[in-house]
Amino acid sequence: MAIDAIDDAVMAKLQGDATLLSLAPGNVWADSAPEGAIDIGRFVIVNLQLETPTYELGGVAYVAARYQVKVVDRSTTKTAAQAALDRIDTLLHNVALTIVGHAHMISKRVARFAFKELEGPNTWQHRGADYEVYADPV
Amino acid sequence: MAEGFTGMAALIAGLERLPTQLEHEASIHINNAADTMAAEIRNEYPEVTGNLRKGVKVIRVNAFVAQVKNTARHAEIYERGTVRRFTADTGANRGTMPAGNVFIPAAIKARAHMDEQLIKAVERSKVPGMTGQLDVVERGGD
Repeated sequence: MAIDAIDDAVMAKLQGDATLLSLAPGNVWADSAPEGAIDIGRFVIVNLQLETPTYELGGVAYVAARYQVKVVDRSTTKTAAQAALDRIDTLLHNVALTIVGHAHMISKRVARFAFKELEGPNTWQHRGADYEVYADPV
Repeated sequence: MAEGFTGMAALIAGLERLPTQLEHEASIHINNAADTMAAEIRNEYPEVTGNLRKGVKVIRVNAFVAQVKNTARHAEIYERGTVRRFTADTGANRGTMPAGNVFIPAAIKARAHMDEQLIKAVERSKVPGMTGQLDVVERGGD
């Protein structure tokens, strides 16, 4: 059983949503976006912060994985990035995921963040949230 | 919970005294968790100017509440990551900054270890008038 199955499930959920891809045409990337992604459009980055197993009776009872999911947009306003993040929230908060080798228990938003990055004449919006996914290996 | 007790009154009195007995030990575990978390974070940060490391502070609100903060101005963007940067004229890559993933994982681990220590402290407690051992049962989260 692949122990990164939850990563794949989160990525598949986001990459498979046509509405999200229309809001973030720069695509959904794991850990970092390639050079030039912003030239296509605002994009989404997903990264695993930490996954911890809980052991009971000598085995893994469940795993808890926490992900940072953020929308990055080159814009002076937050509106479009926030719309993409709102769509991400409908896909990940309190929604079942299909996880290979696991029974999904719960996915929930546990934090939200937002900041602007100034780079010369450019303003970058970073708007994101942290999600926890609990799954039971089967 | 109890395998036997000498009297209900003695058990209740013993349970009522339990918080006082546990306070001191709980305070130790809470403060140790904060100090350990801060040390781990400082160790994980890269050192360029040293500002990220110097910014890590442990604030003791009271005996049972400790906060770990990073007061460095760029601590959050280091944690969350920034976009790739290029020098405009030469096009030189000034380096991407993916999410640092230092503070939040350290907090998760510290909290989990602290909870484990606190549960063990309760389970180790001896309640006057009671034999056997306390068992902590965690209720499902929301």
